[in-house]
Amino acid sequence: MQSHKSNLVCPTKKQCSHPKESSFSPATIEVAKRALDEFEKRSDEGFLIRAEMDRKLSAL
Amino acid sequence: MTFKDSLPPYVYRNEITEASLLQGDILKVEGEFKTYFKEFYPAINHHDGQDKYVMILTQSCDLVKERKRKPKLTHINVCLIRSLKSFIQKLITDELKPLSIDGKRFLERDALDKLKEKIAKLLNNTDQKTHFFLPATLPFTEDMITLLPLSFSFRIEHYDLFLQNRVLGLKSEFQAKIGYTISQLYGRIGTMDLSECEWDDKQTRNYIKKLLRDLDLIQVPDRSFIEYIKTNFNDENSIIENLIKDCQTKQTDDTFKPIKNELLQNINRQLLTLFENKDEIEKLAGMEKIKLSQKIKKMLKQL
Repeated sequence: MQSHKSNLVCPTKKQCSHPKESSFSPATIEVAKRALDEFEKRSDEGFLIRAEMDRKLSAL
Repeated sequence: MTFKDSLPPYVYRNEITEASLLQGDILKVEGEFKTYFKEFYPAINHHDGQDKYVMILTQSCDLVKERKRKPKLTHINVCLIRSLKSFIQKLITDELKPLSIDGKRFLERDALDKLKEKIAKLLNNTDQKTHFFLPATLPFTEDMITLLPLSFSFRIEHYDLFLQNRVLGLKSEFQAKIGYTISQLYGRIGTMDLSECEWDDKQTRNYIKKLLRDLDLIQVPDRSFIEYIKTNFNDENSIIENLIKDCQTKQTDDTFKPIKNELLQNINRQLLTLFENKDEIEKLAGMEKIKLSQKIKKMLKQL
């Protein structure tokens, strides 16, 4: 769960319940969740690849 | 003169009229100079039909030559200039070692992005440690690059020969940049980095992630997420994390919508074809459940 320090989120957990009923099917929501996880994973892998490339290209 | 689709020759001064050599001056290796080069440095190849160039590394103040003043040094240092294309090619082959299949080479997007970023810095001559980029301008026929660590010394007696062979000169600020880069090249202080302290890239990544998360900086996949959050953040009850998930769900739904419609249309078409075939209907009605299920699976595969 995202931290509640941001000014953009409400101050208490009680008020934080999802505001409206989702109009999407559970399957679509599941696919979307996996896509977000995949994005996060790719972003981590990307960081490692770029760090390795930085070493290889250090003389450039 | 500029070449079609080439970068502007932003590093060169318009005229080279100075009586003295300057740091950053570019000399063509030809004639007597080429003979000396071959004699003193026989290991350096001079391919026929391929012009070779060098750049002066020695500081301009030590090269001043006037009637009453002679250069202070006993030797002049120059470094080799190569074509940018061959340099990048060698870099890819020797350092990056991409997967090579059937004459094509493959590199992950992140690796390629990093390479592009480095080349962009090289073309701008920013953040350079060992090279200096020279955009194509006559007598060069393509973009070139100086290899600052690859230097050679020649006795000061060849000064006039160097002057004769000078073909290009750099603007004063780029002359200074050459001096600065050389000083960095030899003046760097070697220090250990995190990887030598049993701290790997993954740990660095996690540390940075935590640092930024604690500073309320949230990563989103692309700009459309920011637009979605801007539009849908209505009141203090909105939760940013849920908005990100909603946006991703909406994108997923939008992606699959056209495929879903197409799939339903295909099923409709198949069913209609089936209903028009009385024999087939009767055959299906008399089938065992397992066989019917197999038949339906086969039909779906044909969609």
